[in-house]
Amino acid sequence: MIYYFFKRFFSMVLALFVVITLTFLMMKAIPGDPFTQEKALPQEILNSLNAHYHLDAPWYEQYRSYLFSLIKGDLGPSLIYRGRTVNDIIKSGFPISFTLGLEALCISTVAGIGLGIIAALKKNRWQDYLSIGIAVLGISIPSFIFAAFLQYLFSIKLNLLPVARWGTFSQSILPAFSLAALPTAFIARLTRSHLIEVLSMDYIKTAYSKGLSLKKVIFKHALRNCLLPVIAYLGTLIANILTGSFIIEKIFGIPGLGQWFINSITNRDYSVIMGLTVFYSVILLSSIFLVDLVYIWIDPRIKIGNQNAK
Amino acid sequence: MAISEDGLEYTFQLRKAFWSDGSLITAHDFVYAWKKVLDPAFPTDYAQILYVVKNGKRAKIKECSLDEVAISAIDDSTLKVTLEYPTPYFLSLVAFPTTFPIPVGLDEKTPMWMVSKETMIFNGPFKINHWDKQFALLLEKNDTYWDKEHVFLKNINFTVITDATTESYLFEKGELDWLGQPLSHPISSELLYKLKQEGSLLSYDVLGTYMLKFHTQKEPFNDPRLRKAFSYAISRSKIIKHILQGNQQVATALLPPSLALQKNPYFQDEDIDEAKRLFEEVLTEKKLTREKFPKVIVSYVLSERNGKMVQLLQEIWQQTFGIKIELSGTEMQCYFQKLRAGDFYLAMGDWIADFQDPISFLEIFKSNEEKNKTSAVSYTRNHTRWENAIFTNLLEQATFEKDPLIRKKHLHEAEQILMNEMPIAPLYHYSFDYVKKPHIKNAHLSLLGIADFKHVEIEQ
Repeated sequence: MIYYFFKRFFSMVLALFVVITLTFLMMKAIPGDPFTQEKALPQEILNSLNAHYHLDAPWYEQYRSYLFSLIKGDLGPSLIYRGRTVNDIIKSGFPISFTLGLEALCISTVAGIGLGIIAALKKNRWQDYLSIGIAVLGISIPSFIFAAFLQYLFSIKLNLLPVARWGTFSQSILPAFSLAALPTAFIARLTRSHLIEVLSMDYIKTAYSKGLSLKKVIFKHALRNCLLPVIAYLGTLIANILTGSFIIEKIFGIPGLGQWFINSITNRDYSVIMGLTVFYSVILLSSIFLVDLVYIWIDPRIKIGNQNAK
Repeated sequence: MAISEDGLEYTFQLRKAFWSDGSLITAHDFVYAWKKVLDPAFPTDYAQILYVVKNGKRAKIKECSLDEVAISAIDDSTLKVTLEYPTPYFLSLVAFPTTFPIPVGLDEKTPMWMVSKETMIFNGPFKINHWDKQFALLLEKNDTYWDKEHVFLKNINFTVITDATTESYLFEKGELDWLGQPLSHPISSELLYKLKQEGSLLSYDVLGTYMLKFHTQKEPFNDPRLRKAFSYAISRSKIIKHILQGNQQVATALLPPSLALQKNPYFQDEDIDEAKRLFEEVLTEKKLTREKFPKVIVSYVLSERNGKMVQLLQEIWQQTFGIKIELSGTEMQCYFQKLRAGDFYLAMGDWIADFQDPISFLEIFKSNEEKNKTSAVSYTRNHTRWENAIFTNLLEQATFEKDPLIRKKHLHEAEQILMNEMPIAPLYHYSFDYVKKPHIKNAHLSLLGIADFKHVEIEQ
C-alpha cells in the first residue's frame, strides 16, 4: 500500500512537471505580450517594464527561476493587476468558486443518480423517456443559454430570485443549477445504462429471490456496481466544477476563479496563466487520486500492488 | 499659479490641503512622485506624459540623472516646473492620473501601499471604505478633503459586472443607479434601443476617433487615390445608425469636433461618385481589371460589434467597386502583433486622447525617429507605415511655437496633409452612452472620458 502511494505521488509530481513545462513553452510561443496594447509604448518604457518583471532574461532563465519560486509556493505577481499576486487571486477567487461548485456537485450527483435510477427501473416507459429527455436537454443546451434562461425566468419574469451578484444563499441558487445541468445529465445517462446492465445480472436475481425489497436490492447491491463509471467521471468533474466557470461567473456577476482562466490568457498575464495551470493541475491530479482510492473501497475486486488482481 | 512669459516655466502655489492621514500635502510630494515616474527603474507605462518636462525623457533613457529633471519644490507650498518647450496643454497633462502626488517615501516604507485600504492614502473627495478586488468597491466621503463642504455624497458603491445583459437587468430592477460608459462597457444593444425609445438615453462626446488604417507601403493601398476611394465610399452615417445605435458623430476629420481645426469637413461622407472615379482612374492607369485587382483583406479584433461593422464595410466596397473583399478577425493580442509586424492591408483601430490638444491625435503620425535604431519597434504607434517630412516638420514647428494662432495654423496644415494622403480613414468620433436614475445630479463627465462625482447630489 505504501509503495502504491509513493508510486502514485511520484507520477503525480512528474505529470505536474510536464504540465508546467509544456504550458510555459506554449505560453511563450503565442504571439503578444502583457504590455501590448493599442497605444504602443515607447521602447525605453517597455524595456523598463520588461526588466522589472524579469521578462528580458532568456526563456530558460525565466523558466528556472519560475520553478524555484514555485517550490517555495510563490506563484509570482500579476503583470496586469499591479500589486496583486497570483496567490492572492487564488485565495480570493477559489473559495467562491469552490462553494458554488460544491453546490452544483451535490445537485448533479443527487439529481443525476436519481434520474438515472428512475429511468432504469421504468425502462422504456414514460418516466424513462422523461428523465432521459431532461438529460438530453441538459447535455445539448449550452450552459450560457440555460443560465440566461434561468436568469430571465426566475429573476425578471417571476421575480423569485436575485438577478446576479454574490453573497447570499439565494444568489447562489441559479448559478448552481446552471452549472449542474450538464453533469446532471451526464450522470443520469451513465447511471441508467449501467444500472440496466447490472439489473440483468445473476446476483441481482439471487438478491430478489432471497426476498429482498426493491429498495434494498437497488441501494445495497445494484447501485454499488453501477456507480463505478460515475465515480470515474467525478474525478475530472470535481476539478472542473470547483475551479469555476467563466461563463456562469460572467452571467451572474460572481467574483470566482473561472474568469481568471480566460482573462489571464487574453491579457497575456504570464504569471497568472502559469499559476492557475499549476493550481488546476494539482486539484485535478489529487481528485483523480482520490477517486482511485474510492474505487478501491467500493470495488474490492481491484487490488493494489497485486499482479494477480482479478 | 504663474506661467513665465516664454511659456516654459510654471510655478504652482499649492493650497493648504491634507492627506487622509492628516499630514500636509507639500510640493515635495509632487517632486517625489514625478521623479519616481521618470526613474528608469520604476515600471510605469505612462511616463511619456511627463516627457515635456525639461530633461524628463533624457532621465528615463538614462542620458542624465534624475537630479537634472527640472521639477523642484521652492518651499512646502511652491512647485516649480520648467518645460522643454512651451506646452499649451500642460495644465491638461497635469490632470492626468500619472502626475498625481504621493507622500514622500511612501512606496519605500510600504512598497505595496496601493493594495490594501489600510496602507492606501487619499487626497480626493472620496476614500476607499471597502474593496473586494474584481468584485466591489465602496467609497466614502473623505473628511480631510480641502473642499469637503461641497461634497454631498456619503458613499458610492461600485459593483463589477462583466456581462452587459446582466448589468441591464440589475439596472431595470433598481439595483444600479448608473449604467454605461465610462464606468462600464457599452450598453447592450437591446437595452440601448429600449432606452432610446423611452428617451432616457444620455450621452456625451469624448475625444476619441474610430478609424481604418491602411498599410501604405503595400499593394494596393500604397496609392493614396485608392485609400481615398475606399474612405469616401464608406457610409459612416449608416454605421452609426444601424450598428452603433448611439450618439456617435460622423468623422470626416481625424480630430473630434471639440478640437476641430477647421469647420468644414475634409471630405464628404458616402461620396460614392468620387470614390468610383478615383478607383477607375487607378484601374486605367495601372492597366488593372477588377478580376486582377490585388487582394484586399480587412483585419479586425473579434467582437460582435466589429464583426457587424466589417460586414457592412465589405458590402459597401464590394458594391461600389465590384471587387472581392475578404475579412479576417483575430484575437486582440495576435491582432496587435500583426499590426506591428505590418501583416495587414486594412485594419480597424481607434485613438482616444490623453489630453485636450490636437497634438494628442496628430503626433501618432509623426515620423519615427527611432526607426533606424531598432526596426522591430518602429511604427509602433502609427501602424500605417505612412511618413511625411512636411507633416513631421509642421508638428515640430508647432511644438516650439509660442503664438497660439500660428501654432494652430501649423497643426491645421498638418491635418490637411493627413486627410489628403489619408493613411487612415476616420469613421466616427466617440460618444459615451449612459443612463442614470433621474435623481442623480451634477456628475461631471469630461471630454477625456472620465467621470467625476465630487459635486453629485441626490435630489429627494
